[in-house]
Amino acid sequence: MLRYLGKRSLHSLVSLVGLVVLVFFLARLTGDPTNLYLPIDASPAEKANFAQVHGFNDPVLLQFWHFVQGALRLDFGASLRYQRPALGLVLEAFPTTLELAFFAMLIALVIAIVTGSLAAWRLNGFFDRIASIISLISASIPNFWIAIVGVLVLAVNLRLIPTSGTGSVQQWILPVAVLAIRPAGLIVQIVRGSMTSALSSAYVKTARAKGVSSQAIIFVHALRNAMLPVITVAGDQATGMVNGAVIVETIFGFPGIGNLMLDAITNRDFAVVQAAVMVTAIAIFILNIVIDLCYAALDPRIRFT
Amino acid sequence: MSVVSDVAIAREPGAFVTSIRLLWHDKFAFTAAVFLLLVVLAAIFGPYVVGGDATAMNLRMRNVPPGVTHGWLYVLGGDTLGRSLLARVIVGARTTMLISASTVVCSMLIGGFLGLIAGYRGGWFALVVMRVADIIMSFPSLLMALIVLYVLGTSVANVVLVLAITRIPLYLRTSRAEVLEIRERMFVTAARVLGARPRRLVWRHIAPLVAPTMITLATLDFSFVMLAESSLSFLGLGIQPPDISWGLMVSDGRGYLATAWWLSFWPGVAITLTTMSLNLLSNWVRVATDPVQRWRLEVARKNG
Amino acid sequence: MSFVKKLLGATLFAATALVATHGMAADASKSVTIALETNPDYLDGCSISSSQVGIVLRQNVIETLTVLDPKTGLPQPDLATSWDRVDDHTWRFHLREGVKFHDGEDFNAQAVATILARHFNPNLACLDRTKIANVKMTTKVVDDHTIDITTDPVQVLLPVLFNMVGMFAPNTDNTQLSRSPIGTGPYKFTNWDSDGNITLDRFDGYWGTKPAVEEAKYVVRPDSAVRTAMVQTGEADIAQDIAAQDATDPKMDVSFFNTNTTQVRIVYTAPPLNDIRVRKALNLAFDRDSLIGTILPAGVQKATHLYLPNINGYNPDLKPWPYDPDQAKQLLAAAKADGVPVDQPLRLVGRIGFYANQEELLQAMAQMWNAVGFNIKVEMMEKSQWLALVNRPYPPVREPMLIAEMHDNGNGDASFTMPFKYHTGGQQSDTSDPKLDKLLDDAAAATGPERTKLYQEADKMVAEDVVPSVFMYYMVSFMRVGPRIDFTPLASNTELDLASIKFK
Repeated sequence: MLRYLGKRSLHSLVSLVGLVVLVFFLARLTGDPTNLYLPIDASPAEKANFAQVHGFNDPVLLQFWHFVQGALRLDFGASLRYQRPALGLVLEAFPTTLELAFFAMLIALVIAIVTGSLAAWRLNGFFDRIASIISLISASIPNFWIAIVGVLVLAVNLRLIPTSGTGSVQQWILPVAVLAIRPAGLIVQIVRGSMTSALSSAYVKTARAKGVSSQAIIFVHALRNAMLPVITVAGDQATGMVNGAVIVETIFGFPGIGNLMLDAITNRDFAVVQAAVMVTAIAIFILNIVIDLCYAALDPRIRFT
Repeated sequence: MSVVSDVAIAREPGAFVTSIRLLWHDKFAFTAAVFLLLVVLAAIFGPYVVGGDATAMNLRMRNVPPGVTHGWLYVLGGDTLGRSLLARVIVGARTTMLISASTVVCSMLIGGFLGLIAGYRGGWFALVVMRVADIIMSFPSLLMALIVLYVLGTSVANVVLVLAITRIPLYLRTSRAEVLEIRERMFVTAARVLGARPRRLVWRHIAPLVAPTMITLATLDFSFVMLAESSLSFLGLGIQPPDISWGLMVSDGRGYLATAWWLSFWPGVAITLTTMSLNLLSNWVRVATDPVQRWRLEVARKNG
Repeated sequence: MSFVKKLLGATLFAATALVATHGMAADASKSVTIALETNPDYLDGCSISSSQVGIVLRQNVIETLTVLDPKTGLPQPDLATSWDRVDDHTWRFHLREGVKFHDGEDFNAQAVATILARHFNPNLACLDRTKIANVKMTTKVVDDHTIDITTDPVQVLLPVLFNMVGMFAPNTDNTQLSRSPIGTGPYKFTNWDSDGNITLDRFDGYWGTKPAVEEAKYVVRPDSAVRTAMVQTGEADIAQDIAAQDATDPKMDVSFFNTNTTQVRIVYTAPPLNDIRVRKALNLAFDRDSLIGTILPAGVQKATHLYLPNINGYNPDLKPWPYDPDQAKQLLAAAKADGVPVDQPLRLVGRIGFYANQEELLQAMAQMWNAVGFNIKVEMMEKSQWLALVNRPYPPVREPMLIAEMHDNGNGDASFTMPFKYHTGGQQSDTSDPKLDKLLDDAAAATGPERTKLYQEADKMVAEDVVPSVFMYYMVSFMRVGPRIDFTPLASNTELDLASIKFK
């Protein structure tokens, strides 16, 4: 397995390099940021000076060379906007989003696995119907809607929790809940689907026919076999949370990487975009490796050629 | 005299009638099918019937709340320019469905297909495909949209392109995961021993087992795409007024949640109901096409 | 008790505790919390003309030599007590005595010289420099509290210009923009944490009157509904720049002119827009009144200039265009008879996210224009693309089109608007009229009532003979002020005076 890990890491490194190169060149296709950082009435001389200082007048390959030299020293350049090292900004913002995503995913998975399995246990029964409807609504609700309605109802009208901010535990309740709702709804459906297949498979029928009395044992075995698509989708949702957290971060005032990246992209702050993409890519690649390892752990028959 | 009885055996009704009957036995799926039919009708005929009402400004009706006082057109309320929300939801069905359906179908087919091959064959192909998927997953979708905007220009096709690309990894990874598990099963080994070629194995035996999960994912992805498309509008890419889509209506109403909640609510309901209907219908298809489960639909159940 | 009951009990207790500890006591401290829309990019006293920076620093941490009287636009003493002109190119400023920076250094002429040098440092992107970027400035320290400033070219309005130049500590790092500003103001900068919260504390060594507020905390909440809700729940005392539709409480919400004026610039390089009848028709067919109180909030006013009435050069005789669609149609018919393609498709370009309801506004305008015979379609662009259309250098082929713009002049004089927007070659100008150019050049060189008169003539020419745009509205901003404090905001989006806040 260690060999597999080594090989995978190497391949992921290649992907990482490819990604960074791609982002570097493609981002520069979106225009020159000079106009965005100087006031609207800045003179042409000011603009020329700005472009000169930041190297926008150099040929692209030269800019890339400077970038590579810097990247090898872990210096991704300074943010045009904040005038600070880009990597530092990204490493400050990333943990916040990571925490949000982690708690949200945890809650979503627990709720979804329990609900989905119970729904599949008695297919088309009352619980199944209710759970399906609620989960489908959850999976299709725009998250800013729940966020703002949540703030208005829970914080303003009922004064149960604070509106926003990051300091106290109460302030995390709503953001995590909002972030968890869509994945939870989605995964309930996936669990339900694959549990249905697992529960109706031959070995379960055999176990029941042989008189295995514990429903729990059957349940757990079926669950284990149903997990494959579940962790894939959960992994995809988790990576999507980096971008999806933007809305939650904006509304609740969390200084996370979603916000940072969005601002950097709309303001053509290339250094921050590059640093942010690299950091999130590393996290995503690691997650994908972990998921692949989980496949092997869950199902010993699986082998990767 | 012949042993076989002379009584004529009733001919089994055709496929269409059978489907309707199976559908009817699952009331939820039936309602879902009816709703989807309405959506399709709205998409086709909507602009002709209420097109004018959806675009004509009427400032006196600005932000009118839902009710019956202003006539049936304003039963769902009026938007920020006084246009009938009901008319806009109906007209918006066309663009929404067009973009979302194209995106979801494209990404499902492409992603599913690539994942199928990658999962079964492994080797270099799988390696390259999976690493490319990794890259797509980590490439910020907003940046991708901006790049497409600058390089290819704005058009509906480009919106579909951007959205489809960003969704492909999900289907790719899911179908690969399923194939990895399925190909180790007994029946696959048996088929191979019997001499079945890989192509036959993949298409005839493995793909039908992967399809249900793909379809479940696709129906749930619909709502995500409908909403994601509106976030591209804020870049100037994609749907621009006076074109309407449900996702755009939802995001336009964001600033008014406390004061004119109906602006976001009704298009959001439309999105949710469409997603639910697609999902319920796909669950029904899953059951109806699975010979093991089909009995649930063939017998008329009292609480079905 | 069974395990389940214990578990339920514990959960209930935890939930109640969690909810109950959420602050309920009224805040009796002398600290105010202000909810801002955006996080400043940095906090350097050389960029206080940027609204993000100014709203925190201006007049709170960083002061200026002069301030403008809000009604007349004339410069008043602040860190400079008086000034006179030594000769055409040189102004002499007398500085206030007994002023210290927050780091203990003295405020004197030498400090001012260092400060101005830093402003002109080409490696620092100081935003306040842009208004004086073309001016060569040399300073001479006459004595500790007198400084001579020589400019080339002649700057008639140097005292006015200095209301934009922040006096930060001469010890400020000259190699990068600061994140911990030091100034002379009533508040000193204490902290800016990683969540984006800024804290200012009252400075005991301030030269002026001691303000009531002891501490100010700035928090960032980009969503307007949340910002507004924070004041309602008592989590904040002021919500800055809230959306019009969130300003629903007349007891707490206040609106004010924010020095912004909106217009639609007409790019009239080619037919049909190069015919003045067509441009007049655009103005006549636009029902400005119908959008006030509907798409735009009730406080906005129809604009007759690209700047507000308190700016020197404003011509009170100019009236807004009447709404006369019939006359517009007549003008178009006459132009059409002469071969002008009045129904040629034209773009009305807007900038996404520029100001609230802009997109609906432009849709409404396009509909009004199309009703009299135009063929105009709205096209929304993101900021970068819009800027390329708005600023010189323009693309070589400049098609006729309409561009939605918003201009900000809080600097007391028409010279900060007119040359830029209407002079031949002006950076945002599509106009080239030699008579107008002469008027503008003469006005820029004149002083006193002569200057005012010349600018007023120029305004009249622009409004009646040139018609390069469709003036829209003087825009307003909304703020929510909590019941704990007494505060009237200035008519500005770049300043929030903590010193004027009183506790009830």
